[in-house]
Amino acid sequence: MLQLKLKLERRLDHFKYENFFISMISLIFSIVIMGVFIWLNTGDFSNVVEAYRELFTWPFHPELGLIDTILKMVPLTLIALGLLVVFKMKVWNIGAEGQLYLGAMATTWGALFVFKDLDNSMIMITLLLIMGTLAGALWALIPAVLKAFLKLDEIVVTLMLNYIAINWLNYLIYGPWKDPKGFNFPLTAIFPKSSWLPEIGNTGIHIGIIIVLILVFIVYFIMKKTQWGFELKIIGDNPKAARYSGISIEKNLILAMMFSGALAGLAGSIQVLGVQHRLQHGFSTGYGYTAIIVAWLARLNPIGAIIVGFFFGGLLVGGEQLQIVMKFPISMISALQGLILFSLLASETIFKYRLRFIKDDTKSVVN
Amino acid sequence: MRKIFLMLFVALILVVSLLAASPLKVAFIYIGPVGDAGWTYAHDQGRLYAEKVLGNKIVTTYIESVPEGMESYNTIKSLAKRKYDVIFTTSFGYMDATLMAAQEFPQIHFFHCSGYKTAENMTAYFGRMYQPRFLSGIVAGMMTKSNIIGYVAAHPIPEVIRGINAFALGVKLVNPKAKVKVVWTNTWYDPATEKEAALSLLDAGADVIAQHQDSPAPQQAAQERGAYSVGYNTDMSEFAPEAHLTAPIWNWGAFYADVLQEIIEGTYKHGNVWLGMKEGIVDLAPFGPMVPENVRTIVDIFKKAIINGTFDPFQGPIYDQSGNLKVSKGKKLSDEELLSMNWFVDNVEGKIPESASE
Amino acid sequence: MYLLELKNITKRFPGNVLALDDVNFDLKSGEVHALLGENGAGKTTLMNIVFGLYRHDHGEIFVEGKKVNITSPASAIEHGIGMVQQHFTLVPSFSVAENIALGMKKSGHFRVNLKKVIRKIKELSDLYNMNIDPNAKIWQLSVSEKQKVEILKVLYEEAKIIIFDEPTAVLTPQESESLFKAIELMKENGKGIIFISHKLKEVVKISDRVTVLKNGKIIGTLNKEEFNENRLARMMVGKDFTFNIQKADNIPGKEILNIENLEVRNDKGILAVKGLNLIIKEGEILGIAGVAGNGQRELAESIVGLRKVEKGKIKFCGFDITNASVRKRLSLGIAYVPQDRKETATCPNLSVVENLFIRQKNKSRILNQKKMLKNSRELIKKYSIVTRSEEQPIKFLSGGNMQKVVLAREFELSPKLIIVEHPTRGLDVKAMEFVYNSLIKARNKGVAILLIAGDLDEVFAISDRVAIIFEGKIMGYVEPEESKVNELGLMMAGVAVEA
Repeated sequence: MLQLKLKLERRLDHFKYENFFISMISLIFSIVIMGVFIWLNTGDFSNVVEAYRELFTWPFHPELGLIDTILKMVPLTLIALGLLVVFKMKVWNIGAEGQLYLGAMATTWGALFVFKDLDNSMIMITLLLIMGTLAGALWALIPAVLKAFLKLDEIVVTLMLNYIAINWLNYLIYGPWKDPKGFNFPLTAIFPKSSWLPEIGNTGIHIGIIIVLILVFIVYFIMKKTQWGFELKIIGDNPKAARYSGISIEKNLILAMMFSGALAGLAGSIQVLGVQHRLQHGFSTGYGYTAIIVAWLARLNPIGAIIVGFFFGGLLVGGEQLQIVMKFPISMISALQGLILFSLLASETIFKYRLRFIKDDTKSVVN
Repeated sequence: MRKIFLMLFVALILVVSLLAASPLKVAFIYIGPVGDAGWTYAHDQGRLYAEKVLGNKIVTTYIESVPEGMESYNTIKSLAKRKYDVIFTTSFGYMDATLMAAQEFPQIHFFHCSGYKTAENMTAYFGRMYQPRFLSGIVAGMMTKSNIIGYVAAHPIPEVIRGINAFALGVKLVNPKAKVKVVWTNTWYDPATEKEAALSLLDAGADVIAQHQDSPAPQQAAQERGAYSVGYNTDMSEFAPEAHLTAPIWNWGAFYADVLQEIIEGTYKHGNVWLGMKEGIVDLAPFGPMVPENVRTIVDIFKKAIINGTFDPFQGPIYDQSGNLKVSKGKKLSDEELLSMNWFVDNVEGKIPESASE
Repeated sequence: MYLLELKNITKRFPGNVLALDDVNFDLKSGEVHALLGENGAGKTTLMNIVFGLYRHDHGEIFVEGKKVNITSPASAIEHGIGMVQQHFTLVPSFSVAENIALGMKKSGHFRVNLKKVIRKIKELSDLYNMNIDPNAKIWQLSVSEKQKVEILKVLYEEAKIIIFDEPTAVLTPQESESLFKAIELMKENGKGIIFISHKLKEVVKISDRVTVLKNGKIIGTLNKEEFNENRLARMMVGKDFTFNIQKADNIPGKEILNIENLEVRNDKGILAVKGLNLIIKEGEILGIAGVAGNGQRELAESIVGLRKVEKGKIKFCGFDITNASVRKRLSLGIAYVPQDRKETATCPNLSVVENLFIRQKNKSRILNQKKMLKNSRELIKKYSIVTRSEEQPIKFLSGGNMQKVVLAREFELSPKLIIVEHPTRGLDVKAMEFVYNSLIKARNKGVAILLIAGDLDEVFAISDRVAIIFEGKIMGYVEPEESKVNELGLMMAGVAVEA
């Protein structure tokens, strides 16, 4: 009797574009699941078609949502670029949100107090971006040092530091930095115009996008072509082998954490200088957390980070459009984000195995 | 010739029917999810009310959980691109973004809630919530036995401070011995934190709890401890039926329906509107069964006085916490002063976080 | 009737690799049937099928004459099959009894009577002379004791068929002896033992029958009176087997490494090296012989800079390197082949190319990938490393090929000193020969080699001098000659001998 059997077995090799493939599969899977959910919920398949059309056209249409998508991509990609460097050495920086806050706060300090009388826009912006970058790096230095020398878990410390950063910001905008002309509302004064990031032409996109593009290239170069990137990879794969090879785990840990903090701080700086022009509540919609998903979905690849960042920016923009057109609740988009991460983790595991159909022909002579 | 005439006629019919049939497109931007109680819920009730009143003359939509700040500008812009005619932005932090959009899209009507900036096509609107707050203070002042009333406050911004002061003045009017204790949560919606805050006030001896957040958690805490509560935003009596005395509530529906009607008629003029109980934009929720008749009567007297303009909660004499006369007898605070209020009246126990810029 | 009978087992791995080709195998009760073969011959694959870890594509399995369908280790245990694997699956913070209770697949109850378990473990431990305390925590146990726990687990489940997968790979000769005694006892109690190994000597010593596998095919099954080392070796490698080592005399040159009064602590903080003195010269292989755990590992790690020196001095080519960093020592020319290939010497998920370069530091800080790739290809050729491609993650290479990668990398550092720890552990004969010849070649070029070896055969095969280590000190030196074995044995046991 001839039987077909399904068999799950561990795969012993990788194929070339496996990482890309895994990300795509999980994305497609999540979007299909979302469609099924919409269908079940509304009982009308045309809603599904409409939702997909909305989700994939509006955010990427040059005259509609594209600019907004790009503006959201900037912080997401920037933070993800930093995160993938630390993630590579298997250190889990959950504190990008706090590092982003510190960058924004330092920049605000510079724009409103330290350099407020500086006329030269170029110099001012450069200085402010550097301040934000440094602040983010220093904020990330805290958990790095605690982990390197006291072996404190970085996940807990970075997460806690997020709350400290948020409360610090609250203190500043409710207290010392409150706009004197703001009717006592919790926001700072508007930054001097000379500190605003210039637009590229008349597009409505600030020059932050150029910084992102440059950094994609830099991070790619670091990860692929430098001794440092190689060392991070070694530490991530086998810390014992790293020690055996004379690579200082502590030094690299501190450097990588500071690097990721610096990029998150830079993202905060760019957000306040390019978009908000003042410091207030809700200037970040959890970019520091969403960027974790971005980095992961990009499979820790810098080029992937900009592609996924773009896609996720579109997802955020498209989510709003779904609300306008379909009256879907915002939780739908959060659920979709979660679903993407979930299916990514699931498919990573599944891809370690392969499914095979085998003919089980027990009675016949073998071979 | 007849052919041309016929074509013109058909075209005319088409245009007329299109004009008549195309409803006004109205969009709302919300700070939180709609949920089933609270600030955003109150606005959404207003939206639904306007839909009901105006029927097929309008179509509405909304976007939830839009972050404040300039990023909301792009959200507003996407509504403009979708050819919405009227856009309501219902949180303070959307002010600058709304103004920017108003300047960019002069043909669209903008309404921004709780701010102060306006434009030719942008109205700043808000309600004089302090009026029903004052009335709810009367209720609390008469119901307390311990003479300690707890107030779970959101953020130290003028709107919240004004509410606390109005409430405390209402308490003082009927019960000069009672104190209003304030605890800041720095949250708008965080049931756990807000419940904690209420419990700490109950531990300190409070037997009535008032609040300025969107969650019913402080009232639930009051009910658990057998104390009374004063709600906010919408009638939350179902969350704490045994505690809920009353609540100062929003009633946006009438306002929304009115302005939309005027816009359809082409008569609306933009500006700064701060409406009170007279216009019905704010009100007091129905009393709970435990509120005795005499309390209801007194509240009713003051409600009528506020509506016909013979009484103002912020009329002198009013002293601040250090005993300085802030409003002398016969005077009352101007709208400007109310909008930037940064001090507590004398029967409030609590501090406003220091601000170095003053 | 056979206890176990395998008929026409065929197994293909992904990529259509034929791992087992029509294999027949049987086992009687009360016998040790060895499965002999080189690395990658299919021994472990076959036994993993019997134990339910893999499924075969074709063929049948019979236990006590009945055809069975083994789908998982649990069902294997149900059929009375137990396996002591190379890698232990024990929870370090649990006690022996708890670990065994944890693995109980037959109990069928959620609640475990730990007292009963402890009693039974004691009985079993006594029966097989294992001397294991059921209440000891796993982390307190040595490797051989952990293995005993694994054996007890299998015995506890009352397995009739017990598979040992290279059990001596992690044991010292003495420990191996006691394992063989336990196996003897199991035999007497009617168990059937399948013994997987590639070590001829022990196979000859303990087996009743031997089946030789090569490239997934059965070469033949021999009875006790038919086999000897020579014949088995021939069957295994397919040619007459002798270590083909050419070792010319070499006159040692100048001093390379000089260790004075070295004191080093082990992981538990106890002094493992206690005032050790040692000198190695250019062009010599110094073998260190000793029972495992006498400070060999700590000595090696302190020379390469992975372990802090408490006291004493290490001089390398005249420089004091006592407190130098690993990196510094690497650049001075100290290479190191640690004993655990997978845990320390390689990054499992990185490619062969990358693993060839983890120990090199580029001065410009920029990697020259083209050059790396070119060099790797040359090294793969030069060291005949078998890999699908140079981009293949190293974890997919066989043990022997992985070791070749490590050796290639260390030799490429052009070192003055190479420290090699158990360089041939787990390797087949061909790979062993390769390792030895490479070391001798390096020595002929003037490299100093410190060989920390597991078995004496190895020390004697290639050393120029042999130092005996005991309790963190060098007891003395002998010439690597058969006649000195007695003397050496005494010193390994801590008895001072006048050289």
